[in-house]
Amino acid sequence: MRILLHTPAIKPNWFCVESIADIDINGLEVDWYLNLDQPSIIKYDNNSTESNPKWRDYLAEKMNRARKVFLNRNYDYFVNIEHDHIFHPKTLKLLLEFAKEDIYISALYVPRPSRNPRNVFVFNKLVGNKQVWLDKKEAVKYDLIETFISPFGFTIFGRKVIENCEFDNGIDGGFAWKAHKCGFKSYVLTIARIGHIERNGFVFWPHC
Amino acid sequence: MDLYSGHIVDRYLIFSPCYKENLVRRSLLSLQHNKSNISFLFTSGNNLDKEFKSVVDIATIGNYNKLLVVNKNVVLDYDILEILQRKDSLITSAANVNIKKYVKKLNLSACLFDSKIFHLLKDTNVDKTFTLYFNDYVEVDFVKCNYGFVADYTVNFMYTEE
Repeated sequence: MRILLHTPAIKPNWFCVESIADIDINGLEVDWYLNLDQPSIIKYDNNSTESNPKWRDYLAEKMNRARKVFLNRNYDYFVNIEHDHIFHPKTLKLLLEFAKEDIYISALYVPRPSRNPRNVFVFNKLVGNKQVWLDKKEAVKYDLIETFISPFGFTIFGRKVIENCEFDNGIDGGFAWKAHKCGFKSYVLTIARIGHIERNGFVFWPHC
Repeated sequence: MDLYSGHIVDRYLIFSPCYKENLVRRSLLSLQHNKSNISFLFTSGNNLDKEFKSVVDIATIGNYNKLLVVNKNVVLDYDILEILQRKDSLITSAANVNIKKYVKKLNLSACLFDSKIFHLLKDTNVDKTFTLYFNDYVEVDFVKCNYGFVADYTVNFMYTEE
């Protein structure tokens, strides 16, 4: 099984880099694309990525560059790991147990309090036409939950999903609309819990 | 444009089959300090020929200007990119002497390739010792610099004398 690990960032958190390096890849063929250089479309000042209003365009260009790399080679799965997460070495293998070529699955994590102080997980589902954040108690009743938007913190995409859907500056939300339009489903694996690193160095883990 | 300096800079892709070689990986990642023009591809090293061809594709697709290839047992000095950068050379290689040579095979300890010869790299082969075989003679600029080899418990650094 061939896997492309992709990390889009300018300044990766080094705990995250070490976490990726520690992933259990025995029996797998894994390449790691650490996509740190800034794309051509953005002119930067010295602001950090997130305070730059164009960071979404920037991220989309990086994701699509990695998509091209993925499509050009015979990888089976594309795994996106954002630069601010830490996780157990078995997380990848846990996600692989549930992965299929026509779905994408995210690990479970909480939003960083500085950006989203609500007591919810980082994913939501559609109720009627409305997107709602999933309540924690409801979420952990199931191992694998079908969602409307699965976040991109630690996410495994089947080949068919990547073949049919480009990334855009809507990031996880924009991608979700495209994927669902093409008939692909998205999930969150609640037993694969990962930490989210806050800027002050604290790491937030989901617990319930 | 560089995030820190504001200057137009070349975009580098650094490739090494060192995914699990902590020391080498760290030494390479440190090259990124205060720069925003470097990406990395780390592979397992199980099939060097295939992996090398992959990386040439990726460098081409990603429009990188330079490709630095580093063996999984080589630790480099922090200024290696500046040292290997030569205006009039398309291939430069870390060495213990300064010399230009025409070669048909090249050991990929630490070699910098310009995007102008990426097309040539597609027709090459890499063997298990991480040696690159060209179809014809190519000019390589061997550049004197400091680098080390990771042994079992030590890094044997080779300092070149002035």
